[in-house]
Amino acid sequence: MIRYKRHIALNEVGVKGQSKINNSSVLVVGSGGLGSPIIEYLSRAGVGVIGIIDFDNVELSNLHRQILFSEDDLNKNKAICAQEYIKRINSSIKINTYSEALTIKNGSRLIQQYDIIVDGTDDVKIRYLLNDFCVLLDKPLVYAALYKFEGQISVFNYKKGPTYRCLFPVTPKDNELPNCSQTGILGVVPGLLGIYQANEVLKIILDIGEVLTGKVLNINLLRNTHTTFRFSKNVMEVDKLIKKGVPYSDSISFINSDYTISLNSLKKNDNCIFIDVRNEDEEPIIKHKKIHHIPLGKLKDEFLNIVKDKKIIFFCSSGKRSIKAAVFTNKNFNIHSFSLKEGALMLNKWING
Amino acid sequence: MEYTVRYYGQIAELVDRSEEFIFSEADTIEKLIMDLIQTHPILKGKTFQVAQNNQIKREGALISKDVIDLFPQFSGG
Repeated sequence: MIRYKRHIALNEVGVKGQSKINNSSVLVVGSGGLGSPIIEYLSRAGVGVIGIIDFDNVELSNLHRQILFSEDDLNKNKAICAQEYIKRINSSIKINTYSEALTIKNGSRLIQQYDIIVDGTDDVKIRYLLNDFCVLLDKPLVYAALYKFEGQISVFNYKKGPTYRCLFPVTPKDNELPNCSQTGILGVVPGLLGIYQANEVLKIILDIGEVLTGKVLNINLLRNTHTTFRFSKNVMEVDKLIKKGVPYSDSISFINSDYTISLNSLKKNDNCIFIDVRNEDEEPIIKHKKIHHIPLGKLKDEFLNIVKDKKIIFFCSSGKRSIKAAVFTNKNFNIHSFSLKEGALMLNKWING
Repeated sequence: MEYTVRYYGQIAELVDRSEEFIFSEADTIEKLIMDLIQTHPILKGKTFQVAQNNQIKREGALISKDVIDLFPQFSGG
C-alpha cells in the first residue's frame, strides 16, 4: 500500500477507498489521444483490472498526443503496446488487451466483464454502440469528445441516469462530423479531457463528489471557459431500447464489415485501383500508377471522374476514413468498392517494396 | 427582448463568433432559432443542441435576459 500512500492520506479515500479502487475493473475503448491519459492515470491509481480495446496500430502522427507510445512502437498494435508500457508503471494490476474493434458481435461479451466503461474513441457510431450496450448491460459510461480546442465530458447511464442518446438523440449523417485527422488537434487537448474522464471514473469508484450525470461539461481551452449544461433522461426512448434488447442499427460500425479488404487477399497484378482519401500533406506520400488521390471531403464531386471498370479500394491511415468512403460509394454509385484494412504505411511497403 | 447567445465548436466557426447579444421579438426557443437562422443563414440545416440558462431544451417560453447556448456534437478523441 506504500505506492498509494498519498491516496490513502486523503480523508475522502483512505484504506477503504484505495481498496475499492484496487478491486474495481474498467474497460477503456480506444487507447489513443483520450485513452492514453485515462489508462496511465487509472493504472497508476491502482485500478485492479483494466481492459484495453484497440484495433489500430501506432503511427508517427500519433506520438504528439498519445503518451503511452514511443518510436519503438511504430506499426505495432496500440492495445499491446499500452500493456507493455503499463507493466513498467504498475505490475500489480491486471491488463487485458483486445486487439480488435468494438462491434455488435463482441460488445456484449467484452463490456459485461467490467464495472465501468470509458469512451476513448473518435468514432460517433461506436459512441452510440457503446451507449446502447451500456444501457442494456447497466454499466456507467464515462464520455469525452473533442473538436479542436474544445471538449465535452459527461457520464451516461450512471445509476440508470440520462444516456448519450438523451443528449444527442439524432445520429449525425456520414461525414457530418469532422475527425481529428481532418481538422487537426493540439496534443494537450485530449490529454486534459482524458484526465477529466479518469477523474470521473475514480469519483464513481470512490462514491465521492458530484458525478457528471445528467450534465455535460463543455471546456474551451483557448478561452479557459467551463460551461455545464443540464439534460434530462428520455425515459420513453431508454425503455424502448431496453425492450428491444439489442443496439440500434444506426450505431453499427462498418469496421470489419463486408466493405473491408486485406492486402493478404490481393495480388500485385490484380485489376484494381487504390484511392487515397487522406489529405494531401499526410505521410507517407505514395506514388504508383495504381494510386489516385481524392481527399474524403472532395469524394462526392471527384469520384465521378474515376473510371469504374476496376476493383476500387480506398485507403487512409487507419481505415476509418476509407471505410466511410467505401460505404458512401457503395450506397451512392451502385458499385462494390472496398476499404483497405492495413492503411497507407503497409500499402506503401506492399506496392513499392 | 434581449438575449445573450453563445456558440460552440463548429457552430461558432460557422457564425464567426462565440457570443453575441440579440434583440428579438421571439418569445419562444423555436422562434428565436428561426430568427438566428435568418441572421446567420449558414445555420440552416445544421444539427445543434440548444440550452436555455444552461438547461438543454428543444422548445419552451423565453424571458428577456435569458442566456441561450447553441452547441454541436463533437466526435474527436
